[in-house]
Amino acid sequence: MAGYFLAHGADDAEDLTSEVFIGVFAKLRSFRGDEEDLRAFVFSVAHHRWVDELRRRSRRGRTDPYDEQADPRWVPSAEADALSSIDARRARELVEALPPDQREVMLLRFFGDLTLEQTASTVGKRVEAVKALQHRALARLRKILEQAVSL
Amino acid sequence: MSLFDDDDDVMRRFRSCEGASAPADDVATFDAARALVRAGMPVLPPAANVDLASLLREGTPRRSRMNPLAKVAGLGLAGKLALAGGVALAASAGGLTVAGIATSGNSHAAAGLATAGADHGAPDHATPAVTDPTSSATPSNHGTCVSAVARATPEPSDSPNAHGQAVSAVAQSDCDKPASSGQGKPTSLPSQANAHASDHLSGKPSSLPPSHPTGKPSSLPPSHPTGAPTAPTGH
Repeated sequence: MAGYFLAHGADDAEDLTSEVFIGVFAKLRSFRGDEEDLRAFVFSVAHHRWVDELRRRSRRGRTDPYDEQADPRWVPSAEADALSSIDARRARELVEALPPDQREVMLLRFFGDLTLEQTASTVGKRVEAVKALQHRALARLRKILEQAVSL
Repeated sequence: MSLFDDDDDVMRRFRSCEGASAPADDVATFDAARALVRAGMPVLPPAANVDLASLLREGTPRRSRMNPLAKVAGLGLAGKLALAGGVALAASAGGLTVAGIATSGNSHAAAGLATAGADHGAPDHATPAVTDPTSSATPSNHGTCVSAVARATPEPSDSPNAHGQAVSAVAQSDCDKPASSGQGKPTSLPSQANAHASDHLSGKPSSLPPSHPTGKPSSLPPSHPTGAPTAPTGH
């Protein structure tokens, strides 16, 4: 869940994750279904929470997140640098290369493990539209990955 | 072990593409992109914020949506009768009488039983549980409960029918009725009844008098033909 928000570029992914689970707990009594349905339900709440966050950002303007590497007090750690910066940067580049609607579909598929039907239901589109978005997203991702390999 | 145990499941679902065949390129790209994106995210679970932590600690607040009338409607027949009996008692009998019955119904019942036994010439060395009204092991049944209310002196301020109504309410209630026995059914198995009967024949006093099979109050313990100590027994 936190990965879903982080991949979206959320500054406060932990807080958003907590808010999602608060919302899930509030509606848990009315939930009916199995484990897969619960997962889809949780990510549906996360999707709507993210849409709310985007609306809020558009109203108040975006704040710059704290960048520890820009902080003069920060002392780089070789292990942390090696482990996280490369993967995180590459992942961010990959996700940010996608338009918002394709990104949303792919992140729900990547992190929520949602089926095409569940994804379509979550984002409020038809299954065919979600399939098309996924196909275009994968074509774009393939191009990026091929460029990375050739480099 | 993979960080994401459901990888296989997701990929199988993706490859099946819900019935449609996915291009091989798409599958490979999906695989690679997914692994790359997930690897770039932190593995450690996020810490809960204050609100979520308090929610997890205290649980979701439970609100009762049932109004009192709905709760009464939800009671079973026995519960409704017991409630009606209690309300009738509270309305008609004096506060002291009600408190006495409510808090020490068994003691009143035992006292009534002991008095009845003395009136009818029962021997003094009857079962201690019966003669000791303060004993917590005092046996009581529905009859003794009704008897205790019937013997209670009505308050002078009560209406003329109050005493009768109170007795009627208790008689219709489940006061001291065993939960598992139906009306008029024996509470003990035949073998247990026979055991009591054999005790009786051998002259042994039974310390636990069973309830009467007909449901009648056993306020009059029969005297033993041999003159041995008696106690209420199952017949």
